Amino acid sequence: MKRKDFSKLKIEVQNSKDKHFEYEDYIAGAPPFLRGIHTTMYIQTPFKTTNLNNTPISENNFSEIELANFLTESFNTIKNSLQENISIDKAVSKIYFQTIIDKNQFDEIAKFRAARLLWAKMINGFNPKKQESLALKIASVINTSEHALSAILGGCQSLASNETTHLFFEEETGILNTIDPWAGSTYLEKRTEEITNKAWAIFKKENKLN
Amino acid sequence: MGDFITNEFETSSAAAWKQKIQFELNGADFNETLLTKTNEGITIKPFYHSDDFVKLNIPTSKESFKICNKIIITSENETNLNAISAINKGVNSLKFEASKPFNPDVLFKNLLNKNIVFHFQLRFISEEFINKIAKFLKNETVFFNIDIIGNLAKTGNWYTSLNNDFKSIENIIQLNLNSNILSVNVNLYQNAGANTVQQVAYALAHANEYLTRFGEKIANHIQFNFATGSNYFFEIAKIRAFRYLWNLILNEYNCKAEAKIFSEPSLRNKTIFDLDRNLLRINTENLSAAFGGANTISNNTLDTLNKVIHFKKDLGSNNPQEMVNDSYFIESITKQIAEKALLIFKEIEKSGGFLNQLKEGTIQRKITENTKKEQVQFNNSELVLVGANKYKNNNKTIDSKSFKTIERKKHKTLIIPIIPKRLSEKLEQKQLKNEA
Repeated sequence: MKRKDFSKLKIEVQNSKDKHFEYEDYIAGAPPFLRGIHTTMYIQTPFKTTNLNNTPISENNFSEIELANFLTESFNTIKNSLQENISIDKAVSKIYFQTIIDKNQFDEIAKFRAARLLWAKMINGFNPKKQESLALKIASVINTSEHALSAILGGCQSLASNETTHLFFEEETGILNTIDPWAGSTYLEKRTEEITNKAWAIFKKENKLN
Repeated sequence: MGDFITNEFETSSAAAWKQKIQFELNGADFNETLLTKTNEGITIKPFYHSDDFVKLNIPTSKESFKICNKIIITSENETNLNAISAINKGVNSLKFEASKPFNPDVLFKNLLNKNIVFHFQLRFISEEFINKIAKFLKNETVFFNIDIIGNLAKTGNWYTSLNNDFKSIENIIQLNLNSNILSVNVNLYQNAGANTVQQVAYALAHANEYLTRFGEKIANHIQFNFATGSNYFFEIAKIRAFRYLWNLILNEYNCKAEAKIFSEPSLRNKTIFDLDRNLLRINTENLSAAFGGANTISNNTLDTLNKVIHFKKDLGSNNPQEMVNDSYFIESITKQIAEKALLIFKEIEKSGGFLNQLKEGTIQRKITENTKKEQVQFNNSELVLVGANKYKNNNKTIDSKSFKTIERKKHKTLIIPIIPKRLSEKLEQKQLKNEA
C-alpha cells in the first residue's frame, strides 16, 4: 500500500466540559482554602509526616457520618470557646480533621474535599477575621502503604504512618506538582457533592440548625 | 446544590486565583517557584481551573480490564500448575513467555473454555508452530504478539531477513485472519528511556508500518504492549493520548478499531536495593494503567496482582477510564502529549517512516538523548529512586538476583539495537563492587 500523507492531520480540541457541576468553580478557584490551605503548600512548606502513635481515632465506614460527627464536635468546641471570650480565629486554630484512610482513592479524596467545603461554610457563619480560619487542616493516618497515595492526592497537611512509603509517592510519582490533581473529574466532583450534601444534612439535623 | 455555596462564597477565575497565589508567595517568582517543566517539554501548573479547560474526545473501552499473570515457560507441567494456581487466585488472563516450541496439550490442560485470555511472547518465529497453536486454541481469545519490527529494534537484526520476516507474518495472518497476530512492543522504547511523548509517537509510527504493509484490515488485531512507569498522571495521560491518536490515524484509513492496550510495569525505575519499594512502584503503575484505560494489566507476581483484583472489585460497575474524564489536569496533559506526539509522528512519516528512521539510527539517537538526560538527572538526584540515590537504607539486603543483568553482547547488527536500561544499574554495580 502507498504510504499515506498525514501532513494535514490535526487534533481536535474541545473547550467545554460535558457536565459542569455548579459548584466546581467554588472549589476549583479561590477561595483556595477549599483545595488546601495554600496552593503553594507543598512547595513552600513540605508536608509533615509523623510516626504513628497509639492515639485512638474513631473509625467510621461512612464518610458523611464521619464528617457530620467532626463538624458537630468542632461546632461545640467553638461555641464553648466563644462563651469563654476566646476569638473565633483563636478557637479554630488548634482544630484539625484527623482521619484514617482506608477506602478507595476517589472516596477518600472526595471526603477531604467535602470536609474543606463544609468546614469553610460552618466557620463562615462565625465571621472570622482571618481567612486562614476558613481553611481546614487535615491529618491523615494510614495503615497500608498505598493509602499514602490517596492522602497526598486529597491534599492532607500531615500523614502519620509507621512506614516510610510516603517518600516514594513524594519523590517518584510527580503527584505533588499540582494541587487537587483530580479536580474536574466528573466522577470525583459528583462524589464530592454526594458526601457534602449528606454530611451537611446530618449535621444540621443533629444540631437542630436551619 | 445551588445556593448551598453561592450564598456564601463567590466563584473565582483562574486569574484571581493566580493573584492570590502570588500574594501567598510573598515575593517569590511564580514561574520559578511553582511551574514544573518535564523532559517532554510540558509545563505543569500549580493549579488547573475550568477557565482553561481543554480536552480531547478519547475513545473509551467498554469492557473492563483483564488481570494477567506472565509466566516464563520452564517445563510445560510446572507452568501449567502455576497457571492454574494463578487462575484460582482470580487472574483471568495469562501470558506465556517461551524460547522454544512447547507442547500445548500439557501446557493448557484444564485451562481451556474458561474464558481466559491468552498472550504469548515467543523468542522465535515459526509459521508451523504458530499455526499449530492457533488451531489448538481456536475457541479461545489469543494474542500472539509477533512484532518483527520490534525484534529488529531490540536485537538489531531481522529474525531472518526483511523479506522473509514480512513473508512469514503475511502467511500467518492469511491463515489466521481473525486472530491477534501482531503487536507493537512500545515497552522497549519506555524501558530504553524514551519519554511519554516519544513512546506515543513511536507506537503510532511503528504500527503504521504494519498498516502500510498489510492494510487497515489488521488494525483490529494489533496489540500495543506498553510499559508503565510511576509518573502517575503522565502515565494515565500517555495511554489516553495514544488511544486518541490511534483513532485519528485510523480515520485516515476510513477504519475504526479500538486500540488493544497491554500494560506491564516499567523496568526503568526498578532497583535491587529495596524489593518492597519495587512492589509499591508496581502497584502505582497498575493504577495508572487502569485509569489510563489499559485492556490488560500484567505482572509477573501474584503479590501485586492481588491488589489489582481487589481494586477491580472495589470499582464495582465504574469504568476507571471514565472516572478520569474531565479532570482539568489530566485532560490538559493528555492534550499536550497528543499534540507533541502527533508532530513527531508526522515528521517520521514525512521522512519515509519508522523503519527508515530505525535504519538511519534517528529513533535510537532521539531515545538516547532522553535516556542521557534522565541519567544525568538521576545522578544529580533530581530524578529520585528512593532507596537507590536518596534515602538509602543500609539495613536492607540487596537482592542482586532479582534482575538479570541486561545482556549487551557485541555482535554484528544491521541497525543499532535499542537496549533497555535501568536508571540505577551503574549505581548498583558500584555498590556491589564496594561490598565485595
